[in-house]
Amino acid sequence: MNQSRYVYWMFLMNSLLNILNFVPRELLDARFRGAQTSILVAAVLGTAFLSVFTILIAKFPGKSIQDILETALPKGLIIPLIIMFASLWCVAGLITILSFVDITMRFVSPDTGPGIVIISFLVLVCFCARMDSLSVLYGMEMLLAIILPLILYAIIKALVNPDFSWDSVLQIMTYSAHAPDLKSIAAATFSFSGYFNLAIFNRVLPKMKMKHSWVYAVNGLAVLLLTFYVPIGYFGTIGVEKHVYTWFSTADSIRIDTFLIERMLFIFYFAYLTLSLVSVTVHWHVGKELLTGLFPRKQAKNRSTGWQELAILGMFSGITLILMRLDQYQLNEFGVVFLYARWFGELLMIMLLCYCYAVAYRRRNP
Amino acid sequence: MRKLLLYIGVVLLCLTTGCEYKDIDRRIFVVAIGIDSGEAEDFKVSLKLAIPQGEVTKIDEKMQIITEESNSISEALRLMKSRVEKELDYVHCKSLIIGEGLAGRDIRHVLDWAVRRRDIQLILNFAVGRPEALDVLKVKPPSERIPSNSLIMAMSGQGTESPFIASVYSYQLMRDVYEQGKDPILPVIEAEGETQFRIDKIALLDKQKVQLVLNPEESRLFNLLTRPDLRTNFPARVDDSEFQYYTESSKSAYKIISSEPGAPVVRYKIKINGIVEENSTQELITHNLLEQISDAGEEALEQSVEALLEKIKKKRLDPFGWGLRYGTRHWNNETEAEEWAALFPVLKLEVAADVRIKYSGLIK
Repeated sequence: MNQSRYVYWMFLMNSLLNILNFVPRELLDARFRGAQTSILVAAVLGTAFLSVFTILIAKFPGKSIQDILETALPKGLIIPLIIMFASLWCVAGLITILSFVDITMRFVSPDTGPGIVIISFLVLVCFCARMDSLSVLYGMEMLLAIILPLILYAIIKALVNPDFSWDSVLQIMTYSAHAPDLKSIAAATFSFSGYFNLAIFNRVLPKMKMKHSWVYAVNGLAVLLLTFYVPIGYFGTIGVEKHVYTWFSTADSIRIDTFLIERMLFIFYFAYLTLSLVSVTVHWHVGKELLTGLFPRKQAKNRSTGWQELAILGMFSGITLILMRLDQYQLNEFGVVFLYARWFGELLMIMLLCYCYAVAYRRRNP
Repeated sequence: MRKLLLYIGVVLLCLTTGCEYKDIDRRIFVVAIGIDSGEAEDFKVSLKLAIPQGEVTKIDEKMQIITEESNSISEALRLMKSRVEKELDYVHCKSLIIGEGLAGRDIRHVLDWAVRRRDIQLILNFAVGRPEALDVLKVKPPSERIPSNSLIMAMSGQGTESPFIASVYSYQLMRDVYEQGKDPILPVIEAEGETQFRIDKIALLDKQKVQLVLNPEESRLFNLLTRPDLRTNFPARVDDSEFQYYTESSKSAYKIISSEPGAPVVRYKIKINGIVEENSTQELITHNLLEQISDAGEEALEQSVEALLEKIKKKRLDPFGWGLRYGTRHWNNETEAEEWAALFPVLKLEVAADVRIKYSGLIK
């Protein structure tokens, strides 16, 4: 089968997941300033990042980022770089999980203790992240197939609601003539950064190629615009900033007339629960693979690699449990710092890849 | 090793099934909340509780109303917890009634509470209760089998499709309270004795409290202007005979025309397709007469809608969102709100109705 489709699934997963927490909040905070132009800029930049990275890494078929870096950089430089990238993935996963624990506590079961919720999530994710890379990809594809229809249904239902205030959306559009700002761009490009997982998954996708980059651009832009405009239609131009989890509140405002469940919230929650756990699994799988790659390699799978994996995932979980103490506003600040860090990390990795490709090219054609 | 881990996992999973969750027979469901201003304290909060019952076939309506006064809503609810033996559960609460006295002062406190609380839905129906919210909660129509169901059905439009009822969810109220250039509305529920209620008026609010209550006739016109396909009837008078026509489909839209010199105009266009439903005389309806009825209906509608719009404008209320619409058509975002405030008093209101009555019913 065509392996390039996994790039698209990775992209789609991140792009849909951005609705969860920080991205809509940052964009909506800037709605009277440059949020809309930032979305346009981010669509261009994000697609460019995605295409360049995918094209470059496809030049090294069957290699992970570590194998690639080893061809051109000294060992002393690789270790800190890999640790830095691995921590990015670790944070990506834990931010999702922390947000989702918070959402579960707020919207679904206020009576359950946060400890039990987070521990059950962590156990599930750690077990799944230990699977081999291909299984993770297959699982991701399958679960996306289940939840995509639900998310599409929620979005269509949200748009056809006669109480949707199109005037509020149009009013916000008249605020679009502002220069884009860095924070909003950093937030909006998150929607495109699913390709970043290729750093590890490239190893199992040797036949992957970059095709149809316009699909990514159009899809990413559409998702971002929906992320931004739909909550405004429900909560108005000014009221929208009062909601903490804007999209879950939006889902809570949609009523389904003819179905067993009356509240859209539960369908939406189920879809996003699955999506975020899959995304955390993928992120932590990548983080784990990067870190285990640092240990000297032995024969195939033996006991010690199993312990290494567990130790790494245990460390990730430990950090998550420590960060549980953050309150709503601290978590948000942490998320914003992560949005920046991730963006610069992507930029750095693309530059490193460029360098490695240049070195390899010179070696081949002296 | 693997087996041990799996075992731990399974044990942990078992823990998550029943965590602090209470069974349904230890819960009591709040189906409606009523909030009035209290006599001694700020708020008088009343809860209508539905008591879960086992057998569906033998259901007879069991409910209980409890009332408590306090200076804050949450405090009143906590106090009520010690008056029932079961845990109060708000997730099935579908309506919140604000007493008329309180709605005449400030609704924002109640709204903030209802939206902020995490176990109360955002699709909660808001309404003003007359004379008090408690009286509305006490109403128990004979047709009702599930507690408060009649109120829920009527308010959400799932049951009756009355043209006089406007349903307002809490997210809509929240949006309109904060939106610049649009004012919120609320339906008014009147309790008539113990067994009947009447919802046929709409209260118009400024950002804070009720300013104007429309009568049933005006409420229907208001709904005609804000909602597509309103199912109702309108009168038309030709010579001596009074006709009523039923609206099969209705559509209304407006435009704000401010580019031409002179005062800006809000121009409404209403389009109705109708059927003759009632004829007060024995006159045979010919094609000619059908057209006359259409024209007469148009004129009557135009006049009454114009009178309604003038009345609302005179109070300086904007429940239709004209100000917001003005903002969507102008890019000078810093100054448009002031411009609109200056334009509002001199606005001209025009209504163009297009009533097309196509059938005379089953008989001519």
